[in-house]
Amino acid sequence: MLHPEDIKRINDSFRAAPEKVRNREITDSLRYAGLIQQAMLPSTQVIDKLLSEYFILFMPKSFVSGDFYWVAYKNKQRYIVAADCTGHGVPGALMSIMGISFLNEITSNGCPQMSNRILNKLREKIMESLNQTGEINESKDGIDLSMCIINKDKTSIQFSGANNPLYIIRNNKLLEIKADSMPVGINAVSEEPFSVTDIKIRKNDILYMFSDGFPDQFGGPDGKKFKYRPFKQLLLDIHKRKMNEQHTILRNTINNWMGNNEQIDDILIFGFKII
Amino acid sequence: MRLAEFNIRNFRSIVDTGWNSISSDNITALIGQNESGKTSVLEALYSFYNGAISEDILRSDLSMPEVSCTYIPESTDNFDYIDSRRMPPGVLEEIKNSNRLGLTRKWNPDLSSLICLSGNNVSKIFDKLKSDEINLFKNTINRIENLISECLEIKNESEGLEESIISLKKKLDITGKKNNELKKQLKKTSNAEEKEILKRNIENVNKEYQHVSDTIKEGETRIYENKIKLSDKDLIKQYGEDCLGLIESMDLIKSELEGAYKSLREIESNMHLLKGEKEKKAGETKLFQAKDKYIMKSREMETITENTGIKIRLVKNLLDNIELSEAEKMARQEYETTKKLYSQEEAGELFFRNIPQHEFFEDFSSLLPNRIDLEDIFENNSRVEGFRAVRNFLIIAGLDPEFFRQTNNRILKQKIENLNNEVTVDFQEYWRQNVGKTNKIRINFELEHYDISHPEKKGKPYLEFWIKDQHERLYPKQRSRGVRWFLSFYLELKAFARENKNLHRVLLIDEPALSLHARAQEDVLKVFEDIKGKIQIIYTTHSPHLIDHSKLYRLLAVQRANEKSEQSETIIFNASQLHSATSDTLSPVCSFMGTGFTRQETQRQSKNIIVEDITSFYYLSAINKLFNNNTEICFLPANGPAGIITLVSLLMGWGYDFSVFLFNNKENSQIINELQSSLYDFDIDDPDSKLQVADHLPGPEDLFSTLDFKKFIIKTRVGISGSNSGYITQNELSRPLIAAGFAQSVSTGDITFSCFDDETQKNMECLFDSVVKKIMTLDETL
Repeated sequence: MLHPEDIKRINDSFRAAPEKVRNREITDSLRYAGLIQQAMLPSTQVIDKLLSEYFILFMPKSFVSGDFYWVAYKNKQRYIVAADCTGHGVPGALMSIMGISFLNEITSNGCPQMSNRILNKLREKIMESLNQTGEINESKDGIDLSMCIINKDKTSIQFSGANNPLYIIRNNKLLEIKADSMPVGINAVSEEPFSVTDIKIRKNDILYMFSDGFPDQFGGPDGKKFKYRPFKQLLLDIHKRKMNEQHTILRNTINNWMGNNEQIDDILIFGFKII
Repeated sequence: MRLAEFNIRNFRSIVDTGWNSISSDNITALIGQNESGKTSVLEALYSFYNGAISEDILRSDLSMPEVSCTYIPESTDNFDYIDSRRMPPGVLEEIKNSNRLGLTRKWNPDLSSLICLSGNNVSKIFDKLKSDEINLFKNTINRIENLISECLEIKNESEGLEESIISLKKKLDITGKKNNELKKQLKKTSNAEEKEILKRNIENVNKEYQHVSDTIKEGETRIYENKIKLSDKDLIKQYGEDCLGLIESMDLIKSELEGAYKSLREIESNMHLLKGEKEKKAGETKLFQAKDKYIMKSREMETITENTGIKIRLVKNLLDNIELSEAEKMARQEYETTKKLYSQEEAGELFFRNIPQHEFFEDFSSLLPNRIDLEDIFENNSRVEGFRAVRNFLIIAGLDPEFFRQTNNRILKQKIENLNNEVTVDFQEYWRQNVGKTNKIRINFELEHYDISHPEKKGKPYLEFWIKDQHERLYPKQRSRGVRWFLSFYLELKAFARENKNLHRVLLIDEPALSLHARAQEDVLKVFEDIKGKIQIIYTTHSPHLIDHSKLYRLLAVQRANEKSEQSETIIFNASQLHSATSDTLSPVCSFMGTGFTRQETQRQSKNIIVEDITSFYYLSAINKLFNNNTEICFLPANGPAGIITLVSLLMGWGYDFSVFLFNNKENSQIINELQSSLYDFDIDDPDSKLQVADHLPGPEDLFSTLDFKKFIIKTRVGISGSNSGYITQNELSRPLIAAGFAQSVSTGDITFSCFDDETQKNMECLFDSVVKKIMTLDETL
């Protein structure tokens, strides 16, 4: 993680350079930062070992992203996370790097076996790092995320969510598992424990975890948001297709919807099938 | 009405204590090291009540002391002693709605003081009244000055015009003459060309004449208008000027009054330096004259203040175009209404008369005498040795001195015998120490008469006092200093409580029970508990035995901001912040906790669980309570890991049944190994082992999920990524105090098992099953 002193040094050197050079340097730096962030995300080889059929639609708004995904295999269980950090661009990316590091740390030694406890611990780490104590003028940054833990025989999952839900499509019906209405970070009044939902899963169930980038994207003929109901319908329409086809359709759909409008936020959809 | 909070500023080592709450159950203890400022707190609260301070109270920067107290009025208090019509609107409502009455005493540099009503919202109302009055004066003076300068301008303009008119009239005269001359020339001349020129000249002169004449008329009109204007404003101006004069005189009288007060104080303070009759007489005359002058100036000030107050309102009304008689009537009414309202000081004084009396008990030196003459009692001879103690004794016995005038000896003896029994029974309630094995001491008094060995008093009655045990009958003076002190303390407080049965009082006691045995110190606490009904007790102590460990909310910790410097200011930590106080300050609390085991009188032959320290003791006892476990488990706290072996040996020696429960941390690991290697019942892998170790928990604080730990134990929202016990260590928080706070919340029912999240609940269930349930089943099989 970058030390505040390093950030200050980088900022100072940016300010000192002439504007054109500075812009180019910023672009180069961001591009390189994007590569670093990409390297911190789990590689396809790692994900392939955990999931046989999946797709990840990952469209950062800029070179670096506030959305991230993360997987791990511990205690014969599969841990999957799709997350959306406060903001996008550089601030979001810094938060995402913090989130990834903390998730690795929490699961590296004495990994909690319950998804809600992982989120509780993650919140403590974020509050501690950002010195969040509930004072008025401090940072209120946090992470919205959904986390699934698939048990070893793939018969059930645990789900815990911070503002972001989980969609499961089974027998042509979409089941929404609601998340707790709070971020992983300081809350307005007091911090409450995250809840956990145990769900029986069946073969061929398809699970979708996502950030709000897709449904909140402006576009279409009237320049409105895509919204959740069409998003759910779209997933229902395409869920029987192959994973790479779903990826392509979702990407094309959102690109067409966006048209000439600017992408407003990072977009992340993590879909996978229970085999 | 009861004292709820206090705030002391600039009093000896105290700069500002902030607001500190008095315990709601009427007993508050101030703990702290010597020189920390505990006694200053008591003195300040007493000075608040009696207004007296000496110069050594003042801080070196000479900032003047200020003590504020907040009281909670009785629900039945209707403030009948206040004339509500004279109270500024909103003040009584604010006091009733907030159920808080704030009073502040502020001292002046001459050490005199004033009590005033305080509290944010109440002060705002009074401030508004003051600023309204100031603005009335400021605005009206401005308007008067504007009016005066406006009048001056008009007058100057008129005078200028008058001068111009005089010169214009001269000019007009000249022009008229010139016109006549030209007309004459025109008649004389026959030359057509000249005639034409003269006609033109005449026409021009006529025009000029007309112009000057018009200008004069205009000027005269303007002067007339100005006269009317001035006559309109003249009255207001006159009143305005009077008013300014009054204000000027008021300032002068005010400074004269201040001078008179200053010289009066000076003469008063020098009086004691005068020597000799002549000098003293001259001094007294001077003092009399100074007093006279002060009284005269005070009266002058009173009169001029009233006159000015009315006049300024009159002028304001006139400036607002109100007709004179109406303006006068209104001004008088407005002034009367304002004058009638209580000032913040007057209102404060009225409320102050109804607050609980603050009494300061510094020593209990009036010891019960061996004997006292009844004559001295009847004559209220307070200088006689032990008079106060005897008076207290009689108050407790419910006996009026007049009773001894009873002539029937049989009735007297019988009554005295009954009273001796009653007082002794009551005293023995508090004094738990035995003399010898079982005998408790008895207090006795008897009515006797002097015999021939005292010829000068022969036949006169006196009371004789005895403190008896089974074998001996000794005079009070033959008893130990501790017994006599306690007796004196008991008599003083019980008499005080009896005399003030229906009155609220604040009792300030400095360092009680210094010469008493630990058990007797606890008896002092018992006396406090007994009299606390309507009496609020605030006392200072260093003794762990004068603190009820189950009621830590009663404590205020007093210490210097910088421990190493005696010059440093005094700060106070209230009960919820105790863990922030230094360990030296908290030593009475901590040493009490250390003595926990020796106090335990409940070790039993079975169901004993040895835990590593007092912190574990508090947590485990509280958790046992959370499970509503009816079987009484006896948790025995060792004094740290090193004390475990001693306790184990002790209980084994006594043949008691027990187990040891330890948390899995570095400090305990050596003891775990030692127990396992030296004693056969302590194999951790044996299911029947007497040793239980909490595998994944380094400390009792780690039984809680981080969220619950923050919410119920340390009560902050800071992020904690490590272990809870690690957080406490890193931040140097007081573990026993935090644990005691938790145990207290559990015992009051503020925290129940359902308050916790699933993680904490599971941890507690697991601990309860493996430790408590296990020892219960083990005992049942025995």
